[in-house]
Amino acid sequence: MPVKASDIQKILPENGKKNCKECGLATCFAFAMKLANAGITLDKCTYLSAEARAQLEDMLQAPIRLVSIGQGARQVVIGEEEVMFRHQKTFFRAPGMALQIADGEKEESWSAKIAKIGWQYERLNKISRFDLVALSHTSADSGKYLQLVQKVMAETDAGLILLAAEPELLLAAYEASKSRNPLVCVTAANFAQVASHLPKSAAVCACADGLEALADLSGKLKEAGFENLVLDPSSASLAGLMRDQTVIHRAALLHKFRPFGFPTMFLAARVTSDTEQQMLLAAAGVAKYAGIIVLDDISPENFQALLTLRQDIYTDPRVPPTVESKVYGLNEADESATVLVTTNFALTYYAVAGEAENSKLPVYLLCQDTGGLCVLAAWSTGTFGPETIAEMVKKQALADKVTYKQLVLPGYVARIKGDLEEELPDWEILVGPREAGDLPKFLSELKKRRESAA
Amino acid sequence: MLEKFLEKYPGEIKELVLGSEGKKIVVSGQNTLPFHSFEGKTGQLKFALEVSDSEPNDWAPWLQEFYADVKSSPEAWAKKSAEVFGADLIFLSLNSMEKDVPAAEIAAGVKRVAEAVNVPVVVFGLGEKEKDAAVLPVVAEVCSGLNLLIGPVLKENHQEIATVALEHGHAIIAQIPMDINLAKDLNIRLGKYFPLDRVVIDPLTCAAGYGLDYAYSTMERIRLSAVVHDDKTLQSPLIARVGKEAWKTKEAIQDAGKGIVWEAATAFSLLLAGADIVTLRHPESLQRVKAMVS
Repeated sequence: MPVKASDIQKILPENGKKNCKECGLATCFAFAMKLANAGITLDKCTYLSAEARAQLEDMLQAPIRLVSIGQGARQVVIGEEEVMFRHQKTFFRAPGMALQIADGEKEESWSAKIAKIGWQYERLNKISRFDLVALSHTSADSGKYLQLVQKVMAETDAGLILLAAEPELLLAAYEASKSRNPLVCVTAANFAQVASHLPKSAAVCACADGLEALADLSGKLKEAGFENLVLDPSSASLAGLMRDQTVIHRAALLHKFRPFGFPTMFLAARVTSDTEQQMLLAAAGVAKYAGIIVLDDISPENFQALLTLRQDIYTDPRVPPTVESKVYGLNEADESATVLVTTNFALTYYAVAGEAENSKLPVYLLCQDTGGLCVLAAWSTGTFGPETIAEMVKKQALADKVTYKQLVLPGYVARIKGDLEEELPDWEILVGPREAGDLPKFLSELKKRRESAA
Repeated sequence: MLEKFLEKYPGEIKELVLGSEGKKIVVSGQNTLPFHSFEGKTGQLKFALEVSDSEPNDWAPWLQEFYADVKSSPEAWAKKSAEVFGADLIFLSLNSMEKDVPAAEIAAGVKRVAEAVNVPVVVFGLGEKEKDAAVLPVVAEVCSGLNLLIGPVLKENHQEIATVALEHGHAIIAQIPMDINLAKDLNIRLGKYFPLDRVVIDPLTCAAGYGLDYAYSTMERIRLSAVVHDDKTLQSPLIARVGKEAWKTKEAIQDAGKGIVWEAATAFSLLLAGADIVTLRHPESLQRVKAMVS
C-alpha cells in the first residue's frame, strides 16, 4: 500500500503549507509527492522536527524490508512485497531456495548436495536454481562445522545460511564466510552473546518457536541495531506454516506491525524428513509468502517441478508471457518440414511446440507477434489474421525453406482459411486441430497423405 | 497479542453430500480461506481417481501400462481405484461418447460402475455442448437417486442437463473458461432453478509450467469472493481436473516419475488456491498429496 502524498504533507512544517522552496520544489505538496515515490530524501527539508522526521521515516519505510543474502550472480534479494494475493498486483521477489547440509552427514553426502547447487533449469528464457546452502551443526565437532563452511565456500559461489547454536562457533563461521554476506541464524538463547559481536550490517535470521516469541526476538534485534532481518517462526506442520506465514505477511502489510516487517524463512526439515513431502511443503511456502525455503535434499524431478511452480506463482499477472516472434525449427526441421502457425503467447507456444516435438516429425513453427494474446483473442483483435500471417510467411521466406507449400492453421481460426488462401495463392492452407494434444496424430496423418500422393 | 491479526469472514461454502445411502461423502463446508484452520473451519478436501468408460488410447504410455490389468473394464478399474488405491471418489470420463455409443448404453455403463464401487461417482462428458446435452440427461435419469456429480454443464446447455439432474437428485459441475465473471454469470443463471450448494465450479485447470498461474489465481479469486466478500453466487465448491493436464505435459510424457511429481505439485497448489476436489490419474501422487493435507 503506497503512502498518500496528502498524508505526508500534513506532517511537513506548518501542516505542509510552509512552501519555502528550499528543497528545490515549488510546494510542500510537490515535496510530499516525491517522497511518496522515493524520488527525494527527507534531509532536503531542514525544518522538520525530530518527532516529525521519525514519524515520516516510519511512514515511508516499506512494510516488508528488502533484504539480500549472498554475493554476485547468486545474490538472493527478498522482501518489499506489497500484496496478500498475486492477482492484486504481483508477487515481486521469488523465494531463495536452499539445500541444507549438516556437518554430521557423510562427506559423500556433502559433495552430492554441493553438486546440486550447480544444477540449473531453464524455462521461459529464465534460468532458475538453488542459490543458497544452509549449514547445520549436528555433529559434536566444531572443527567439522568450520570444515564444511570452508568446503562450501571453496566449491560453490552460493549464499550461506549459518545454523549453529553455540555462539562462538556461529561467530567463527561468520568470520570465515562474511565475504559471502551470509545469513546468521540467531535464537533467544544465543542472542545476547552473538549480537554484541556481529556487525550491525549483517543479515540475521531471528529463529523463535512461535509468533509471540518471534515478535519479541525481532524487536530485540532491531533494538540492538540490526536492520537486515529475516524471520523464522519454526513452523512444525503444514497448518503451522499456513498460519505463521499468513499472520506475519498480513501483520506487516495490513497492520504495519513492525516486528514482522521482514521477509521469512521456512525450514521444511522442521516438519518432516521425507523429501517428497518437503517438496510439497516448499510448494506451499512458494505460494504463501516464504522468503527463503530450506530443503534437506531434492531429486531432479522435484527440482524441476518446484522451480517451475515458483516461476508460475511469481509470474507477473499484469504482463502476458511471450516468446520471441520468429520461426522455430523443431525436430531438426529441413525442407520436408510442415509449417504450423500460431501466436507468441508463451503458453500457446509451449503447448504447440511440446506436442509438435512429441510427433517426432520435422516442423517449422511460425509464432506471430500477437503481444502475448492467445489464438482466439488475437484473432478477435486483428493481430492474428490473414494479412498479418501472410506478411510473416513472406518476410520469413518460408516458401524457399520447404518442399510442401502447406500451412497449418490452428483449428480455432478455421474461418480465416479462405481469406488466407487469397493472400497466399501459392500455398495450400490446412486447418489443424483445436487442441495441441491432437497435433501428433494430425502430423503423422499428413505425412502419410504426402507419401501416398508421391 | 496476535489475536488482533486474525480475521473472521462473512461468507460460507456449505457442505456438499455426494453418493447414495451407505456411500456418502462430504465435500467442502467452510467459513474461512483454504488451510486457514487457525481462524475458522476449513472444508473437507476430496481426491478422485480418473477412470475412462472406454479404453483410454490417449493416456500417457506409463498410465496405460499401470492400468493394463483393469483398463478394459471400467467397473474393475473403478473398484481397484477405490479399494486398493484409496480414491475418495471415482471420476468417470465418458470417452465412449467420442465413438458415438448410444446414450442408453453409456448410461447403463455408468450405473454399473456406480453400483460396483463403495464411493460416489463423478460423471464427466466431453465438454461438447450438443453431445453432452444428448447423453448426460440420459445418465441422470438411468442413475436416478444415486446422487452423482454430473458435468460439465456449460452456459450453452445448462438447462437441458441441469433440470434433469435436479429431478433425479444429482449435483452438477458448472464449467467456465478461467474467468471469475463467467463463473458468476453461469451460477446466476443456474441459481434461478438449481440450488447453488449442489453446484461445483470447474474453472478449468492448467499444469505447472503450462498456465498454472491463471488457474491458481482464478480459483483463489472465486474463493475470496465467496468467503471474504460473501458473494452468494460463488459459494460453491471447486473442482480441479489435474490428471489430464499433468499427464499431457512434455515432462510427464518423457518420464513417469516426473509425471507423478507434476501431478502432485499441480494438485497441491490448486488445493492451496481453493480446490475442494482434485481429480488425478496416478495413485502415487494421490497418496503424496493426501498424506500432506491430512
